[in-house]
Parts: sequence; structure tokens; C-alpha cells
Amino acid sequence: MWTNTKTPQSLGNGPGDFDDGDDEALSPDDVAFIQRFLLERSGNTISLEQGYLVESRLAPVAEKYRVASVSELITELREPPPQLAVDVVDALTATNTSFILQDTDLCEAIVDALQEAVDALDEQRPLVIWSAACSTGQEAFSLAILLNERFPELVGSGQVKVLATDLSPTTIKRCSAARYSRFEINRGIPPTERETYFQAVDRVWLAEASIRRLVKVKVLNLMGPWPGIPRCDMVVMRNVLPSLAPRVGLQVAQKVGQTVLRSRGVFVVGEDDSQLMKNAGYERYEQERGPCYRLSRGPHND
Amino acid sequence: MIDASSLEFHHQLLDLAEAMKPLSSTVVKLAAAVADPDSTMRDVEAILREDPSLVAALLREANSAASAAASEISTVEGAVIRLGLARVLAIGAASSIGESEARNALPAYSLAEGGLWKHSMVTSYVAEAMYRSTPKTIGAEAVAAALLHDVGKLVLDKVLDPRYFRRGRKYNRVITKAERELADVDHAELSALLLEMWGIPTVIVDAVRYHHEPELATTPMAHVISVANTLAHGFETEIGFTYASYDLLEGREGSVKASLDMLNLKLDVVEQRARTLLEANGILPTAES
Repeated sequence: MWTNTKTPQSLGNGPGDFDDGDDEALSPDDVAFIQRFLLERSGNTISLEQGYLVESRLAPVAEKYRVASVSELITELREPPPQLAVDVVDALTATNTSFILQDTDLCEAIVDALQEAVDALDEQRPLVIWSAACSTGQEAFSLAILLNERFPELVGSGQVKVLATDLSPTTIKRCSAARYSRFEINRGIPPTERETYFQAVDRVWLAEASIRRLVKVKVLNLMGPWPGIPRCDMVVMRNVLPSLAPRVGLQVAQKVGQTVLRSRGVFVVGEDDSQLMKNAGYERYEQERGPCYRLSRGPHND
Repeated sequence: MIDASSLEFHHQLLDLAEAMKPLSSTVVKLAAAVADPDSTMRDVEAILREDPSLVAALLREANSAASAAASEISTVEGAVIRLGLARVLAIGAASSIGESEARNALPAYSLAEGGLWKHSMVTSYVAEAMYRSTPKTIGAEAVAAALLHDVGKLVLDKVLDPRYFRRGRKYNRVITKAERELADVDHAELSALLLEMWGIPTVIVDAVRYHHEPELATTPMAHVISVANTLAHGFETEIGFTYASYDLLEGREGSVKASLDMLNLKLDVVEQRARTLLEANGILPTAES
């Protein structure tokens, strides 16, 4: 006989009528402080309703610093030792990412754009791609695989590099190690490329040297200066701009156009970034295959 | 406490997944045979004969009131013909998954004892209704895939803190977003991983992996599981039955309609057939009761 063991709040999917009960451990003031702290240090935004996320992400940091609670940790953050501030930003900005190689339309659009850039190359300079806010590096290694597969002569001549940057030292360390869990290696990469470019060692998948040597990693906060970032033929920043405060996202997109992107360079962003990109002076030239943009006006860097 | 985005945390999830009792070898072989278009009824019978307890379960089901057998069925072949390959595989998976664990309460998901199991059963019957409506498009293995689609929740429940997860679900609306935000991995990924570890055919694994993002899958089966999952929530809460309410349950707009259109199925037909199956099997009360 049917017995309803589920109530609306227990749905697998639905929003339902959730009971917050006494779960709130952080005060609204604590969450508001973290919101400001994160914005100032990284440009990232969180909602005041995401106190649960702050607690969850900062609980391991509180444990590391031997502080009794997240609330006490936030009190210390008001005058933070430098490393604590770094660790907190690290914990709060960690995002899960994926390889992009199963998005064949986007990959073909990228390859076409790179082919145009390669055709225009002279021997004086390499082809440069920047994977900005790269998280653990899946996007950068996807680009390295595409280069290996589609531009082997360029790769062989050493005339190409992929820069991978992120503000989180922990994340950049993982990117540099190029080791992925079984979950991560299942996201966005076809079996053939996985088998060709990664080696299973114990429980992790390690990127082969052929793609590791193409990717140069570096800690870089998009909110600060961008030392060491040369003019680029392509900048890839998928799913980054929406995580930034709107004003910051616009400034970052404009700065890419003004200081980094070559005049025929391509800026690959996320599907949700169209209005921001338009406001920043770009036009989408790929309508079907993916959100690929070029500068529509303004400064030309070459 | 471990940072959820670290390799160590992923390894902890793998440890928990590996500690789960796998599906029996009979079910794994049966799933491969059902998913293989070249396999024959003789192949299926040979696999079933290796597992007397499963044969007993199939005969019991084939002779139950729900199956409406006119005469007693006493052979493996008769049971398979009566029940159909889709239900045979689902019964095998159900008997093997270890009902005791699958029946546990899942505090993070606010599921009472038996809640996940019931949802899995309802989802499998909705998938069966869809399979019966369009067997040429949908493989028989869809019914077992529907039964197993949430098995990853058994693992994730052990690492998700209910205090945070309840609030994360409320904020994100879409359950997989909340899971990824707090545990870096969602239950669909974990379900797929478990089935992969147990040797289940790729077509089932992929359908389960993408049941919340069927547009990313390469076969239509993910659309079947996606719709069956959402409609099952509708039957369970009795707040479904319109596209708008299904959108609310799914947490995104147009998903059920897009999948049904893709499968060339009508919502009212699927609902009616699913209701008939659920009533016949005693999972929903009949209209008269």
C-alpha cells in the first residue's frame, strides 16, 4: 500500500518548503563581512543567503588554525594574519571545473580561431593562449590536447604556450601537479583523449609530459596587476565572469581587450556572458558553435 | 575535516563507493545481454539459470496478481515472456542491490527509511511505461537504469552535512548544483561511478550520469531517466501533472517537455500508463480504494 515517505522538502529535485530550523550558526553580520572580504580580495561574490557555504568551506580552515568555530575564525579575519586571508579566499573560491573536449562545437570554433592566428604568425613570436582563473587546470590541459592533436608542427617547434593562472595558490599547485581524481577525469573528456594524454597512477590520472610542458602555471589575481601576461592570441575565461561582481567582471573583460588580447584575438567566455561582453566592447562572431568574441571597437594592441 | 575540492576528499568518496556491496555477477551479465542487440532469449535464460534465487523471484513476480497470468508460469522462459526483459532486469537489480542498504534513511536528503527505495521503484515503473510506449527508441535496460539512478545518494549522504545541504538545496534549487557546491561531486556522477565499478554496460552508466543533464548524453536513455525521475516525484508528492509543476520539481524550465518531445512521447499518455503500472503493482492506491 502506498505510504508517502516523502514530504515536499525531501524531493530529489524540487525546492520544496525547507525548514532551516536552528541550522544558522553565522550571524548575518558575519556573512556580510565575508561577502565584503571576498569582494575586496578576489572580486568574487557570494549571496547573503549562502551562509551555509561559508560555514561549510571555512570549517576545515577553522580546524587548521585551531579556532573553535567559523564564527571565531571570522572574528580573526577582521585583522587577519596574511596566510589566513589567503587560505580563506582559497577555500571560498574553489570551484569545480571540467575538461572541454566533449563540447565538440566549441572545440572546432577554438581550432578555427587558432588556425587563423597560426596563419598570421611570424617566426618572431609564439602563439599564446591564456586560460585565466583556470582552477585546477582542466581547461588549460584541454587546450594543450587540442594543440597537440591539431597543430603538431607548431607544438613540435616549441612556438606555442598555454598560460594557466588562478588566484588560489592551492589550486595552482594542483594544476601544476596535473593529477586528477576519477571524478574529475570523467568530466568533459572522451575516453580516447583520456587514454592518450593521461596515465592512471594508483587512484589518480596524471597528465602526460607532452601536454604538461605546454602549460605554464602562475598565481595571478584578476583583481590586481597582471605582470608576465603577454599579448595573447586567445583568452579563455569560461564561467568566470558571472562569479565576479558585475562591476569587476566588466573591468576584467575590458582590461583583457585593452592590455592583453591581440586585435584579431579571440576571447572565449561562458554562454551567460553575452550582455557583459557587449558592454565591454566585444562582439560575438560565432553564433552557433560557442561563445567566442572579438573586440568590436576600441584599442588595437598590435 | 577535509576540503571537498581536494584529491583526498575525492579518495574518501571512492573509499565509500568501493565499500558498497556490488550488484551480483548475474545482474551484470544480464544487463550486458539486455543491452546487446545481438543477444538472444537463450542467452538470457542461460544467465538466469545460474541464479536460482533470482529465478524464484521472477516466477513469484510472473505469477503475481499484478502480472495477471492466466495460467501458472513455471519455467524461466515463461517468466521472461510474461514479465518482459525490462522488468526481468529491474527485478534482478532490485534483488541484488541489497535492499537493506538501499532502504536506509538518508538524513542529508531528508529521506525517511525506505524513501529512496520507493522513489527508485516508482521511477522504474514510469520508465517502464515509457519503454512500453516506444520500445523501438528506448532499450529495455532503461528500466533497470531508472531503478539504479540515485544509488550514488547512498554514498553522498555519508559526507554531506544535513545542516548545510538543506540550505544549499533551498538556495540552489537544483539538487546537483547544491551537491557540487558542497561535495564537489553530484549524486548522478556517483551513481554512474558505482555502476561503472560494478561492470554495468556503458549505455546504462551514461544514462544515469546525465539524468539531470540529458542534453549532454549521447543516447536518448538519459532523457527517459530524467523524465521518469521527475514524474516519479510528481506521483510521490501528488504535486506534478502539469509541465509547470514538473519544472518546479526539476528546478529548471522546459526540461520534461524537451525530453518528451525528443522521445516523441505525450505527457498524459506516459502519466496514465505509469499510473496503471503503479496501481497494478500496489505502489499507488487504485482509484477505487
